[in-house]
Amino acid sequence: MSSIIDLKNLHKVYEIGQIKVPALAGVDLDIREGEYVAIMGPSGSGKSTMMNIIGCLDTPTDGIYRLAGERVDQMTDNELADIRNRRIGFVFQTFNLLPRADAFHNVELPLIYAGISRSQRKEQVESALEKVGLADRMHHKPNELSGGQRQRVAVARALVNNPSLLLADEPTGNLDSRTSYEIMELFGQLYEGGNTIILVTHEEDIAAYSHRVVRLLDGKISSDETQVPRTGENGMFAGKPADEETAS
Amino acid sequence: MAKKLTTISHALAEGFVIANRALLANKTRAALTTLGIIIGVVTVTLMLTIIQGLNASFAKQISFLGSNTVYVDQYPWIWDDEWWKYINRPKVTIENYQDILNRSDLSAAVAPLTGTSRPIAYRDKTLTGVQIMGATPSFIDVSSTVPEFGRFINDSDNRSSRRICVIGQDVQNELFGPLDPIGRDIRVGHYQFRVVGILEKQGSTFGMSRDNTIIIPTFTLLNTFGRNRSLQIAVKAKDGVEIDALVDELTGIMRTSKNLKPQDDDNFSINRQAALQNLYKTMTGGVYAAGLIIGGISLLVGGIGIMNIMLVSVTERTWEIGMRKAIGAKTSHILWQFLVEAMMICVLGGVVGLGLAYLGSLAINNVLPTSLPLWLAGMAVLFSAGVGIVFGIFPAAKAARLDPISALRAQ
Amino acid sequence: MNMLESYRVSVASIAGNKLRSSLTLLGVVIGVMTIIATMSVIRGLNKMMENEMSELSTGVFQVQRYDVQVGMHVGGRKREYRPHIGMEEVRAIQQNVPQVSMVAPEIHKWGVQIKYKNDATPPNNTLFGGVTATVANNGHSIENGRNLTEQDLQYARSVVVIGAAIARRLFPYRDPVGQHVTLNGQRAQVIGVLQEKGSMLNQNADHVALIPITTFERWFGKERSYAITVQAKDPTKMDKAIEQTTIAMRAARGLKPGDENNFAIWHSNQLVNSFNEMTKWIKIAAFGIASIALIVAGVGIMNIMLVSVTERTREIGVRKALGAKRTSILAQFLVEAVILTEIGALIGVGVGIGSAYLLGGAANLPISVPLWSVIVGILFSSAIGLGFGTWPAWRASRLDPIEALRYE
Repeated sequence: MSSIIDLKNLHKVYEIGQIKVPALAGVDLDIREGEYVAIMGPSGSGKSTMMNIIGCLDTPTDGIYRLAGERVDQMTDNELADIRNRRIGFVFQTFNLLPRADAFHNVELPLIYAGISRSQRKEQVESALEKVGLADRMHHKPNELSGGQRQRVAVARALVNNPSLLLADEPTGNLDSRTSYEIMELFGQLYEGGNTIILVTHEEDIAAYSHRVVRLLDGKISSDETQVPRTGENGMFAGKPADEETAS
Repeated sequence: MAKKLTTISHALAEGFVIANRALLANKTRAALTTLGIIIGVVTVTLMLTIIQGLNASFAKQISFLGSNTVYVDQYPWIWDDEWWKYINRPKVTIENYQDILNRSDLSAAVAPLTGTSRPIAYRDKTLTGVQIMGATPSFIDVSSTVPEFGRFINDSDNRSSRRICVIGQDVQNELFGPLDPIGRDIRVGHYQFRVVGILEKQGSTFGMSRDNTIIIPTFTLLNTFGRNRSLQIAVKAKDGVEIDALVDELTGIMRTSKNLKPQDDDNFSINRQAALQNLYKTMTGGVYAAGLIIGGISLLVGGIGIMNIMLVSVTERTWEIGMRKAIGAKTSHILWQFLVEAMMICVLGGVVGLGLAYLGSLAINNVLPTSLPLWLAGMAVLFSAGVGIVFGIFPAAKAARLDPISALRAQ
Repeated sequence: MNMLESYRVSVASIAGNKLRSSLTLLGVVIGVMTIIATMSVIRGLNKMMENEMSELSTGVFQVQRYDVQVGMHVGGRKREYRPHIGMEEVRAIQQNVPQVSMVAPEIHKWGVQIKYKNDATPPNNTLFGGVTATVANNGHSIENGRNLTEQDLQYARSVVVIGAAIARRLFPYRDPVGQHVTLNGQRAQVIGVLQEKGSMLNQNADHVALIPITTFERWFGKERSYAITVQAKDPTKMDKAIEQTTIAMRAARGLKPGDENNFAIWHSNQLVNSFNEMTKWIKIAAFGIASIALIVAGVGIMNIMLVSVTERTREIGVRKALGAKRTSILAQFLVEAVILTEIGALIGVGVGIGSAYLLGGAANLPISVPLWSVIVGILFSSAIGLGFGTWPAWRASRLDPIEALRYE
């Protein structure tokens, strides 16, 4: 399997006035295609910074970052935007869906920025929504959907462009526990389907679904262990997620 | 390259969708923002229609002079600072007229005009202030004046200085009322003149009726009321002849006719309608410009209102901008999104404003002449789009420059 | 919550969002500025025209044969015949109208060339035949030398008082008084020089020369009609003087009751009045158009106040939960709108006055800012602030506290 993420001696220093605050102090990390990695760490550990850099929202002060073989650490803002659009699918804690647009349009958004034709967009959006099990909710607006369904729309949006990497930042942070496991099960299915997933979380329960856990402390990797992932079947709330929570 | 173009067009299309949604989401706000632009566009467009109308009306008022007719005259119509050069000029005489008539190749018609004023009476009714004009048959060619009833003056009237007249509609109404005046005698000063025709209605110029007039043969006028008067010779150019060429030819003929030596200045003027137009333009241009600028200020204030609201909108939608950037929107995408929104407000305001201005111009038409040509309408809409760009660019740039990480944190 | 507290909250809110507040202000600033600058410039124009058009001195009117003709005449039409005005009319006014003094007959000739030695002016001077009072009645004064005297008139002396432009042209380096000049071939001695009028529109005012009316008639013949300038003793009772003069003139010219006047009486105020009448409409129109900017600014204020109400929905909820009454919420937002407009109006007054003087300086106009425009500017913008602030404030005051607290 080829390397998707290749970080070499990554540094990130923030300057607050005269003071230099190191957020990352030499991180080396290699994530291969098809891996399901959880990044954990207490606040201030550099977890968010690392996620921002991996997500190409930010560039490192020093070090090398190869995303799917491409050097991205020296890219300009617009080049990074392009990389984010083609290579990375984001899932946010607060969903970040456009409140006045329906599910279809929300999922369509990355394709619009990619400049894909209308007919092709329709095809891709429909297949992405199908993948997350929302083919029948295509024209509902976010306030007509449950929290879990909203996050599924967000996942579909992240997947729609066939990215190299799915980057989820506390994807269950705004969900109740039952819905959380429902989403984690979805991630499990995506993993089975061959997607590379990076999960940023502080919850051990959630990290347990991944097969590799990277822990950060004071801007450095303190541990990097593989584990047997918990699957939906073994989970606390095994079984089909209930549909009755759909908001009316 | 082609890929880039489709990307931009998609971004624009998305910009429209977003703008549309944003405007509908906050209808009151959108309506008030648009209202500012509407008021501005109405003001500016109305100013322009009034200016346009006044200009057109001026052109119409002096159109009776004819755009391809020039007037050889003792004095220029417009005097400059060197007025003292003109006042000792010799009169334009009937001999000058005859020279032009005989020697001009470029003219289609030559008409000697002269005028006087005498009380005009029929039975016990007397009119004062009627303009008495001398004319030859060619008068019909240089002016649009034609008789409605009866006949006009002919060459034999002039040759034998007959005391006959063609009367204007005002004279007909005031002197004769319902009577048919043709064949009746009126008194012009101390002389009897026979009415042979009635002129078509002429309208008025600057509030002065051109129907309060009678026309008599030029030679009759000179022989009856005195020869010591300067003529104005109206010369109409042949079809296809440039007015400038005609002026050059007439200048040559007049200089010879006046026996001027090569070094002498012209002691006559060749006047034309265009000169009046120019004078009008210089006299009114400043006032019009000032009116437009003052009117434009309300558009400026409307634009500032748009900028303010767009800034609010950027602040409110910071997280959205962050999200869009995270999923791959480029700086230019965000810039266009907000620019399109500002432009949509402005164009909407422009179109509505134009409609209102049109209705307004119909109402104002009762007081002042107005005119709303198509180019003006197009310009108003284009201009409002321009206002959108000018005042949208700062908020749009502010949005486009947002850092995605902090923008995402903004909720 | 009292007014002071409303005021404090408003100031904090205005200061809390400086860019937004200043853009909102800017609309009002521009509106008030436009009103004040426009009105000042128009007043300056009027002032200039008044100065320019006052050819005659205050309280002076002129009796002449024909009306002053304004407008364009195409086709060279001639006026009806009227008998000349002569010495009899001058005497009739002098003897029968006690309300006037300085009855001065004058005749003039255009396009006169004046020569001094080998030098000559262009034929752009107006030669007046007049009397001693002609100088004062026409708003001139003697700068150097002397005026015409009774003796000059009595003996039809060949003496001349020249205008400043002529003096400058012919005598750049020496005193003209005492020199001999030739006026259209007639020799005369310069006895005085008129003070410069320096008018911008009427450039002919300094291209004048005055000789005794008797000399004028000796040189050029007696067939010209006089114009008579008359000074009303009490300038405030000019109408009465004109009325009496009209009666005297009618009697002198043998007019029967019912006949129309075959002479005209004209004074500078007429011109100024008709000009003011003309500019009155321009003034009203300009004020109207300038006010539109202020109305647009008001719409902007309303819009921003609505945003402000929406943004502060929770704050309103908290205040209501803590016992704020509807009126105090209303007051809070209304005060904010009014303060915004007042600050804008005050800055607008400053900028307006400044730009009026700048424009005036550039266009060489005598600028004075009409006080009423400042007052109207301030009052109008306060009204705008109140008018357009009321709806948002009312909306804020009507918010349901429970929903407001739940609002995000």
